[in-house]
Amino acid sequence: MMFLTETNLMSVAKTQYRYKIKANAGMFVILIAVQLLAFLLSLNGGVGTSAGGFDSITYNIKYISGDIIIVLTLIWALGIGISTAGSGFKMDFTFISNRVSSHLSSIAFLLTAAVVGGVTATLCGILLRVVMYYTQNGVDTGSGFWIAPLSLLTGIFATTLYAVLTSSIGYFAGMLVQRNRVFIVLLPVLFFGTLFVEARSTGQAQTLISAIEFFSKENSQAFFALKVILVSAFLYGCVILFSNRMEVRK
Amino acid sequence: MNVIVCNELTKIFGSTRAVNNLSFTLAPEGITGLIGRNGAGKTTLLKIIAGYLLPSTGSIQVFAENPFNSVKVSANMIFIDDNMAMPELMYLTEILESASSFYANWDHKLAMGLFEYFNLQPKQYHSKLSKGMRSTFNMIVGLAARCPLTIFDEPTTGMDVAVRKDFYRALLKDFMQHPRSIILSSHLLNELNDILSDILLIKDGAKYLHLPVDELSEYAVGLQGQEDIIAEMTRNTEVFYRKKLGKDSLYVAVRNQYTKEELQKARLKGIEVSSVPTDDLCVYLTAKHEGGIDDVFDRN
Repeated sequence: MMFLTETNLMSVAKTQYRYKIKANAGMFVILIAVQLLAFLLSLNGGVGTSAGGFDSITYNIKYISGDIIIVLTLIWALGIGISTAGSGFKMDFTFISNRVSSHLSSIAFLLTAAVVGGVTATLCGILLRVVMYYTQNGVDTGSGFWIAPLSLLTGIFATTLYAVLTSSIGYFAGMLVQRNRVFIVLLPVLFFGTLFVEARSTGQAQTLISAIEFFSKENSQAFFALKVILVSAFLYGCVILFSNRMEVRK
Repeated sequence: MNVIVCNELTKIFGSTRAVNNLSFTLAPEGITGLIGRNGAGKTTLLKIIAGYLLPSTGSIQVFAENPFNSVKVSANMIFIDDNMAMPELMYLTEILESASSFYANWDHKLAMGLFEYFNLQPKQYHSKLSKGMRSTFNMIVGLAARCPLTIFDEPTTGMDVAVRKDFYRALLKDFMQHPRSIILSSHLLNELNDILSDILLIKDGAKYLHLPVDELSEYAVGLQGQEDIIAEMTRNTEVFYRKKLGKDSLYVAVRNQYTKEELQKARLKGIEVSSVPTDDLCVYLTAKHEGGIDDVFDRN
């Protein structure tokens, strides 16, 4: 008789985490592609241009910002959350797994992805400034152009946290769909439905705006971090609870 | 300790009972053939054992634990079929290396040996494999993992005859060196017959038979001869199969409950007594109609 292997949840989750990093290496290639695209878009006047003139003088203002890089990185984070939820159970149960260990390894993987996304997006923004400095004549290198090391770290910190948040939202939505296919239709309908209805009645998508402002208007970094951590933890907690009796590979 | 104890297990999908009030136990060490027709509930049963699905009613214990959500069961069990989800962007050899990080008893030398023998390409993706190649690769994972409970659900899908034979031989050899509990599901028995130690036959989700293979060959007897004599002999026995052979000649496969004398007497009356090959017997036992497909045509 073969002896039974004794193992525990955490060591299984750790093995699964390493496996997930390898299996999803392609996701980081997509990240590079996304950021490259965002970088090219930003080069060409990222946020907007305005022009005008009086007498014989004309002026042309280009607003250059790395916002698109960050926004696209966050969309990537949302996508990686959804795709991790989609393949998660099915793939994990090929080898050793239970439902909780699958989630734990997915969460660890998404946190890793968020850090990678946050760091690279911020650095990509720096690269944009450097390229701008050398290519645009008369670039205004006044206030706001140079970044102090501390605010660089703050940038990485904030972008990473936003990526943590969006990836957890993606994972939550993806798991809901795994739980019941109805959500494939229901979630977009709910999201765009509220946007549309609110926009028609009040002229503003108030719910979405206040949801974003709940995070973006927070002045204290500590509170911002706390909010992100609590909301993500809540979403992951819900996923673990509602999927604990879920069948795999039906 | 029994590896699997399954008690009045039922699994309902919508209006069908895929597994119906099934009870059996599986002793450690042995190769069990789970035999049944398409839709008999083999895969559902195996997925419940693997902890993928929840039973509707009844209980299941694997290594004395409920397999659903059990890390212990998962660590000591591997479920192989042709739908195993593997990463799209990992080479086959990378997948084997990852698999080795999961399983304590993993034999990488065996895995690589089989990998080369079956001409798999190291730098190939799992999703790009042909059906037979994919089954072969999955089978290698199943053998090399050396799990105390190894489940193969229709492992030979798409394999050609030569590969199937090699697979059975590899399975048997590895089993002899490292005895463990292996379940092999299949709808046909003929090729498996020589490697199985026992057979669990299910029909419509319920257990029909669970016997050591050598007892199965004694289970039934074939009688061939004049219709009226056979009708007389089979009045009180179960008839598994009946086939008209001519005007009033008949072949039947029946439950073997005759004494030697009775069979001898029958021979004197001109009845040919033969043993029923086990693979034919399984087909008869799981058939929905006594006369098989002929029934459909005879009715018209």
